[in-house]
Amino acid sequence: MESINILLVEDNEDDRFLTIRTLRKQPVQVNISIAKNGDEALKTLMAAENDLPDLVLLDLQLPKIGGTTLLAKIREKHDNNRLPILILTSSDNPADINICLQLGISGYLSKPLDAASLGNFLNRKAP
Amino acid sequence: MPTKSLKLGFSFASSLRRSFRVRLFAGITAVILVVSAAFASLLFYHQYRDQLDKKQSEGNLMARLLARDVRLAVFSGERDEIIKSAKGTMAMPDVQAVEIYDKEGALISRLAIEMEEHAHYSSFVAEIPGLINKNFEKSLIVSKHWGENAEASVGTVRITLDDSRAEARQHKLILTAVMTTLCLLALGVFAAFLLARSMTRPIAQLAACAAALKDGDDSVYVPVETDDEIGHLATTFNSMVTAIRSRTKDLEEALEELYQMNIALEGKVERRTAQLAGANRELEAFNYSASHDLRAPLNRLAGFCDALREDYGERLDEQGRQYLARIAATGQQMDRVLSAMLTLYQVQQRAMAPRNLDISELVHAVTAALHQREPERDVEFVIQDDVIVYGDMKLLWLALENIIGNAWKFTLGKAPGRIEFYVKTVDGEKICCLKDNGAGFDMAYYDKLFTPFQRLHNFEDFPGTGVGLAIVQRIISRHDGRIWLESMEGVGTTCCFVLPQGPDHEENPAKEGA
Repeated sequence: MESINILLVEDNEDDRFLTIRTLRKQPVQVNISIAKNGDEALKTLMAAENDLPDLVLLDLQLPKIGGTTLLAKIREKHDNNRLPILILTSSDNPADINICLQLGISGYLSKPLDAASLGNFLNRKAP
Repeated sequence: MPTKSLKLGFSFASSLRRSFRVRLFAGITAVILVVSAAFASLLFYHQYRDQLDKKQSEGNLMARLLARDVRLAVFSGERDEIIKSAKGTMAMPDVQAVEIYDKEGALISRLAIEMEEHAHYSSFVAEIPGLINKNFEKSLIVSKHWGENAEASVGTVRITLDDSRAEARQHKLILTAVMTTLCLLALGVFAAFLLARSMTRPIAQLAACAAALKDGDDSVYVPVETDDEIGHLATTFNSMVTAIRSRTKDLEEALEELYQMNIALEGKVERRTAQLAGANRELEAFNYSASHDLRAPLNRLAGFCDALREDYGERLDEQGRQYLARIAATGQQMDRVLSAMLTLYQVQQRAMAPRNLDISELVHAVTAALHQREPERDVEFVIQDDVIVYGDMKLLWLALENIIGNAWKFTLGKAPGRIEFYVKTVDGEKICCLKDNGAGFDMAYYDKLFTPFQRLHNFEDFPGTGVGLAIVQRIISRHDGRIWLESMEGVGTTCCFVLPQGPDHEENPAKEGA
């Protein structure tokens, strides 16, 4: 089975730990790179221009550059086909979700990340 | 011509009716007319009588003078003397003819000027006395005693006088009387006109000023010219105008003050509205943080509970696993409270879309969902069908979920539980009621029912957030409706609410006004 390259954009250490733990439990091999804020995420993506991750897991509540702003900046360069993004939210704020859906995302999952839901998604999206 | 004079008559009659001045003038003129006519007639009558008397006495006198003159001549039969006396009388003015008769009535002598056909003549006859008393000699005015000597007469004289001069004098007299009367009349009418004008002018001025006042000119002033009743009226009118002016001014000032107060009030309302909007924004911000910032750590707690159970559950003993389950349950309860808070906020924010809807259908749907969730519960539902209310579908659904959810929850101990939905009409109002035979509550704590997070039961017995009824109350009040509960511990609770009828409501329109 091939491995999947995932970029996790998450500022909270506990949330990172829990998300990574759930990812590790997936049957597929996942390579996880981490960005702790929007700037780091943009830098990582810029550096990996020719080797984009297979999936970005994006937390909407980020310091400085907010989740929706970061998403908009990423979408200026890469559409969802080239760079699929999955939103992680703590609550279902319909306004934020709507903005994300308009910008183009593969879907959104509520925290804490449920292993089964993530598995379903990966099975559908994984090459 | 007759129509013209008729018109003139009508216009005079109407102005008589309408104008006090014309009426006064006409009245005074009529009085003057009557008085002067009476005066002239009286004057004329007296003058006429005087003339008549004068002519009579002159004629008689002349006849008697002649009779005396010719007495001796007739007695003695001296014809020349008789003619001489007769000629003497003929020389007197106005004498047309003189005839002298003897005792037997035979004409002795007649002297006459030719008579004209149409002229008027008067004749005077006197006996020629045979006996002359002393009085007669001395005075000619003895007519009283004249008749006593009648049989002693020796003859008769007859003098015919021409009346034309006397008639001319009479005509002149009539003319003078008429002219004088006319002059007096003209003067009187003129005086009447002046009097009427001077009397009615203040009234006309008063009327004009009153009309101007009616048209809004409160600067009018009636000149006070006299000290009589009209003068007093004018003074009173002027003081009335002054009073009106000052009252109008007061009114305008009050209006201005009211206007200023209104502006101030509007400003105040605007500021308060802004403050309220600010408070609302803060509330919104708080709700946002409550649902996001509080939820994020809660989710982490849940995540670590899962991780602990999955990774270390095997190594914990039964009590450890129970603790873990309790931590997770506590987190879930907090999550539910946060959700309820968010719901409360959303209820307040939602844009209402009210319409007529079948609330019985909503009750059926909510109860069906409850049965599906807990099929093991033995609860009997009695639902009145086809109850139409006017309201927002989503909000009413939410309210019913909470009300019926409560009834469902509190009938847990009862077997079978019974929940009834029905409508009763009181004073034309349609009251929706949900009655259960559940645990009920102590009405002493009624005040706490609608306060968020206030609970009347132990969580272990009946779990809940304590926000449900607060949500229901907010929904009903957003519909401008009313809600109340009646309960008895151990017997059950009835929850009643009234929703105002919609604009196109037609049922029992007569009762709506009551």
